Amino acid sequence: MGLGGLGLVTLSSPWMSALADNKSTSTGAANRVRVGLIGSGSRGCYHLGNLKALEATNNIQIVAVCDNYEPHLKDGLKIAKGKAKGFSDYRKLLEMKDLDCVLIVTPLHEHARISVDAMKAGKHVFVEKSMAKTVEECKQMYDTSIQTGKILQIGHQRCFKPSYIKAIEYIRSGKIGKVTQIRAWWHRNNDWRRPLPSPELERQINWRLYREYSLGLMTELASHHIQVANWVLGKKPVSVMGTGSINYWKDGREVEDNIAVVYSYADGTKFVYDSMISNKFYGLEQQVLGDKGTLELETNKFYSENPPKPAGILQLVNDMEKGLFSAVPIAGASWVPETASKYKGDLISLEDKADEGVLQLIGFTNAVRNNKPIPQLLEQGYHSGIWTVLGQQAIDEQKLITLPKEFNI
Amino acid sequence: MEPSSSIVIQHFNCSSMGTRFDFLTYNMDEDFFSSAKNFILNELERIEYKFSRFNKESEIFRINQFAATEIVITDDETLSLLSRCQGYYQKTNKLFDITVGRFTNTTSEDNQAEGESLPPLSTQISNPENSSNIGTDKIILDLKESSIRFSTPMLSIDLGGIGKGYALERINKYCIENRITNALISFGDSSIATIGTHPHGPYWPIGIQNGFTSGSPLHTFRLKDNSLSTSGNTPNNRMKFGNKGHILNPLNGEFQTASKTVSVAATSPMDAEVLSTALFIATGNDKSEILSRFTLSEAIEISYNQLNEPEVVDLNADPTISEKRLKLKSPLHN
Repeated sequence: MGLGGLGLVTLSSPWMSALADNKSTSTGAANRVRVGLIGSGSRGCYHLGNLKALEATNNIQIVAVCDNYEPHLKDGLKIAKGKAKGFSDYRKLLEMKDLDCVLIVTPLHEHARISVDAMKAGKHVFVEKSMAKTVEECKQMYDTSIQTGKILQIGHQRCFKPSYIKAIEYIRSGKIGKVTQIRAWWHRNNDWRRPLPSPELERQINWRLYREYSLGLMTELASHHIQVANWVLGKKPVSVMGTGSINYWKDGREVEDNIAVVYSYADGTKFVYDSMISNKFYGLEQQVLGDKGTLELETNKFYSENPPKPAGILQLVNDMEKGLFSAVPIAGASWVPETASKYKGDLISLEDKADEGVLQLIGFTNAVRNNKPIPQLLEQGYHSGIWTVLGQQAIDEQKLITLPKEFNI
Repeated sequence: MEPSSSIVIQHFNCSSMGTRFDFLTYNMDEDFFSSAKNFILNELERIEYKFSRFNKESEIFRINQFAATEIVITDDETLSLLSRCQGYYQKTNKLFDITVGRFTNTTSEDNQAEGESLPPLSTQISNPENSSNIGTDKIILDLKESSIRFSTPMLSIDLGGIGKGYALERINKYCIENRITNALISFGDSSIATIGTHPHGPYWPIGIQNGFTSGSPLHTFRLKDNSLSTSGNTPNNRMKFGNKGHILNPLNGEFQTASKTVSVAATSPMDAEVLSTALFIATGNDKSEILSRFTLSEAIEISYNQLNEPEVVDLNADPTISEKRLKLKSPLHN
């Protein structure tokens, strides 16, 4: 799949270089990347569908699927088809010799253990966000990647989304001026539950609702936008405060159904985030606010603080003042015919049709093929993982939280 | 012509109808200028408030909400404007249609105003069951009873394609009635009305630039007491509306993506605005047929080939247009 990834490589998005790999288009076994997937629930099946499509174009092969819940394993194998082996125990999967890498798409509490085991077994790892459930686990995963030399990529797919990369260019070029606040929210209106074949499966299927397995809205939703905020600013936070509660879905869950956190950066910039699951009117958005403009990243929009003045009128006034009689220029390259009934902003990028969920897998498998980690991508995942956990800690302890020194990298 | 030293330029601008509005004149009495500015600002606000379909308090919103199921009584201004739109619909071979505007929605916010996401117009047109959901002729006006209703349930009026022309007409009328002798009035350089002349020349010169390169204008309009409207797709367009553009052909529901502009100069700002859109969409003989039904000064089309080289065509130069105008006895001809 030719994507022109090199065109999108910038200092701020060096991982895009992973998309340009000549070897990916060859069909030889020597360059083939053999992939196993652990955790074929809904997200896992989404990845399997993408991997299946990439089998035809990017010289990869799905060789194994694992899930300890039989119906999910069946679903996964159905998508994988071919010669993929099925496992209910991931340790058996990791024993496969003809396996280069694994995608880990399990509940959060299993990310660290399986990732570390996989890297120690000589396999490169792609693990879904958020990185892990505790800061200790995040650090352990990071250290294991460094020590084993195995690639560890966290599933923050927005790193590969063309409109986001373009937005970062806007920011770095000063187009929106000085950024002093980032805001994001993710609002839904449902109980976040999945159907249960039987009540005994409550904690296994609805793991996101229980603190033993998940940190709820922070790890499952906020971690995406924390990663983007750090990427936008090119730095990590220095502290976080937060609050949350269960004020609507009082059904025995242990995680909040509404949260609000504020991250502070060293220069005083703030990232303000909230999430709730009892109203979806405002949906999902991440806004980057600068003194010259605003970016709305999820909707791919840029708004200038000062809508551009038509060149024609400016020149006309100038000419009149100077006693000149010359044509007022309109309809040039910068002319925008206004037909809308309200200012709708401008698109950040036209090149937004590419599926970033696919691009991140292409990047990962290319990196595996070349046995070379993708620049700076692990750091993006690590800082997001750490500060997501610290955000939950701020909510739990109701105090300002900073990063303990031992977790600096 | 006025010597530059004696020119006192008076100018104000504001945001209106989603674009920048400019009013430019010179050597006007300051009190009078202030009074004119007040009128114009109020009038712009009034028109937008009354006719924007996005404003839940607007007359158009009310009509859109109820006219499909009941007879709606409305005021003379609204009826008159809609009646003129029906005339334009016929005169442009249905290429100007005030019921397709909502299909050009580019944001989820606008779709929320509809209460739903709309399938593309092209899909609806191809389905005979849905194709009756558009058409300015489905707006049934009773001028005697001051009422309006829709003859089809899913109709919706959008005056975005004519709002600026109407506003310019209202402002123009005010200026003339109040003896403002020289002015240039502009919505975002796309819809321009002029009164009198430039202070240093016998008209207001408006130059259509090359959409891809800088340099001298490809064509210059000489405006004096008339208006100019330009519709088209330029490189910067695509950053605003995406590759599909923003002009929809009501007959097939397809967005017009051709790389070109059409500029029309006419006495009536509304005629100019309607024609610049209709002629952008029209093909072949339709263009001369449409032009023959209007009195206008100029209609210039600038199209770009694959190498971005421009070709300038005077659409009004077709000799058959004059013949058609002379022969036309249909009540459609003004």
